Amino acid sequence: MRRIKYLVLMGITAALVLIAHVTAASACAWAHYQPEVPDKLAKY
Amino acid sequence: MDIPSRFIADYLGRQLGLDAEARDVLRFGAQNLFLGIVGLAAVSLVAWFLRCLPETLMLTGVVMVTRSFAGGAHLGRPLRCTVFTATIFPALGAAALAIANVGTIVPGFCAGATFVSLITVLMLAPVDNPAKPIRTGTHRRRLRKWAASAVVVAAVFQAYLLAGGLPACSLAAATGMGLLWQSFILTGVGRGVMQFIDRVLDFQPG
Repeated sequence: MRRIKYLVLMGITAALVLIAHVTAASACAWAHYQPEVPDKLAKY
Repeated sequence: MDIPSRFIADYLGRQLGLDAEARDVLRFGAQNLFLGIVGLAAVSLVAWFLRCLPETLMLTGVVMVTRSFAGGAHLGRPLRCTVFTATIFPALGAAALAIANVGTIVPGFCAGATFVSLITVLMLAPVDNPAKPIRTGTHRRRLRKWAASAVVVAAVFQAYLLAGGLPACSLAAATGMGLLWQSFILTGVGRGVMQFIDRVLDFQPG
């Protein structure tokens, strides 16, 4: 059970990291509001 | 949007033992995801009430794709953004439907929208903002190229829809409307309008 929970959390984390990188590499967020980009993603 | 994003990032960070920098990345990802979901839900709901859901979703898709590469004006708060998006996109969808009802002008409208959009993107894109500056010239040139490619793909899609006949006519008009809206928010006038809306809604009582 703990292993399944760990895998689910890892999956959510991977999805959020992917979204963060894709958004940071694009010109801006699709919506009419742009969240502050974290320093770690400032390389884009 | 910031509170649930922070909660999720902190929870995942605690469970997986991530540091503060990694949590910031997760928070940023969650913010963008929530903005997208809430914005799309609000837009869909209003468009459904106005009976222009397919047109609105089509132009939202066009704006989403072109905006990712071309950038554009922003508002200062997430809630303001959601309310504004849920107002303007269904209104544009309804306008596209009205244009499609005058069927003969749709091909001309689509051609004009594509032309205006291509010129605007080549001249002005990408438009960045202080929250997410574009740091290198290479990245800037690459985004401009991708934005222009997105407009060309939208134009080809419009042509395909127009060839499909009358039922797809309103979707072609919606694609054109999406391109025109994206062009507008790249211009100085568009950014000025957004700043004005931001100032008006920034009223603090007391």
